[in-house]
Amino acid sequence: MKKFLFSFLLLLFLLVIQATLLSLMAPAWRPDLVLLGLVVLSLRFGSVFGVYLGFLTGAVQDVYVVETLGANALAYCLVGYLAGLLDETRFTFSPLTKCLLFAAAYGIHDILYNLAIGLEQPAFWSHLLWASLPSGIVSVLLSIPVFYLAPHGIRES
Amino acid sequence: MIFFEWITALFTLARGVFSLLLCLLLSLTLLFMSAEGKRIFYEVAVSTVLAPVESVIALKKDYFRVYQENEKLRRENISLKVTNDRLKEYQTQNQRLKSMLSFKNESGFDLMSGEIFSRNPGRYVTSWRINLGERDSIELNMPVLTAKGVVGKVAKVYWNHSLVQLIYDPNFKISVLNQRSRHIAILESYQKHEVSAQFSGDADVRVGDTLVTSGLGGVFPKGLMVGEVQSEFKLSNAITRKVKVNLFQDPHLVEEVFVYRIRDSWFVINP
Repeated sequence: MKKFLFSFLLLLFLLVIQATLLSLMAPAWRPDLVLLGLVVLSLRFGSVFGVYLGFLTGAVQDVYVVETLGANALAYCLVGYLAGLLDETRFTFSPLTKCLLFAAAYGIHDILYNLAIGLEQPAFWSHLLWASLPSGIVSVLLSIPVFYLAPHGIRES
Repeated sequence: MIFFEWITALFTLARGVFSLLLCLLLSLTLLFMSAEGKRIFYEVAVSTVLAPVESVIALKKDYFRVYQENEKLRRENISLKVTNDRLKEYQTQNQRLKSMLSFKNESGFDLMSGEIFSRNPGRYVTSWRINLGERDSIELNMPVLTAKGVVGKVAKVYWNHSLVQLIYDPNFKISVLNQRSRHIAILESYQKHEVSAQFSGDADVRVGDTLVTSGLGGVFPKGLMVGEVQSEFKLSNAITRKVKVNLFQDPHLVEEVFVYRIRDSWFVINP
């Protein structure tokens, strides 16, 4: 419970950073720190941890856009669950593989989110191409040092 | 026992799926909630759970705004302070120059105003250098004064500047006249920055008497203000009376001076 609370507070802190410091950047090139934090924590602590953490963080983020309430919660809890299935205590990944996993998680999140908010066909693809792709590239680049520096989970014997 | 372990393992595996389904259900409920429901959810969430986060965000934004504003005001403050200091300096200079100008016009003397650009670096200032020289028709022994009174004389002249010997110089002596009793005395510096006047023993001198130049000696014309009698020294002999003099113009406080362009009325012809 303690580590869950700490992780949740960490994600809230990242959310604050994203809403303040990163808001100075162009939206298309703004990395998703919260998603990066969620993937790191889910990979380390498992799927149950990831799904609840994703849901709560997503719900908090959703409160700021009432019209799409629940969209981030849905996307984050699924990403948290999927990342948690690849729990580091059972599987071993190199930092580079984790970056690729994060890239996949980023793609899944954005597709789910765009579907959840009900984007129509042309807007859906253009949003993925012009908003999600550059932001995803920046996020993945940012994830490289994070995964190299983040401590690995202890593999069960 | 085996059955129990199997159930536990199944429950552990199913826990993730169960959690996912629960969260998905909640998310979808939120997503498909009516506008009114969303509004209520938003209000409850913002006013209870998110209030601390909101306050942190607001504080952060406010901090940056205040920081930037502070930086801007600090720069503005420095600039205004510099301007203000300069204006204050101009104001005092303006007052000084005004009084000098008025003195120059009223006196009718041939006065040339100049600025002091250096003082001798010792602890006791006995000379200055002023920015008037031969090119300004300045000559040796010309009186140096301010609107308040005499401060010294020109001791050396160069092309573009001159050396002024001050009243404080122990080698400087000047003949003065008691304006009230018309008795004559010799004014000199008796200590570092103290000035005294030596009258004859029977002279009528009182504290507060004004001393002016006597015109004797040929360097200073008659009637220039010098100082007033402050107190009398108690001397054992009755041949002379020595009084302490308070100068009208303290040479320490002078920045601009006049040189009275009047030639001394005596000169030595080299044999």
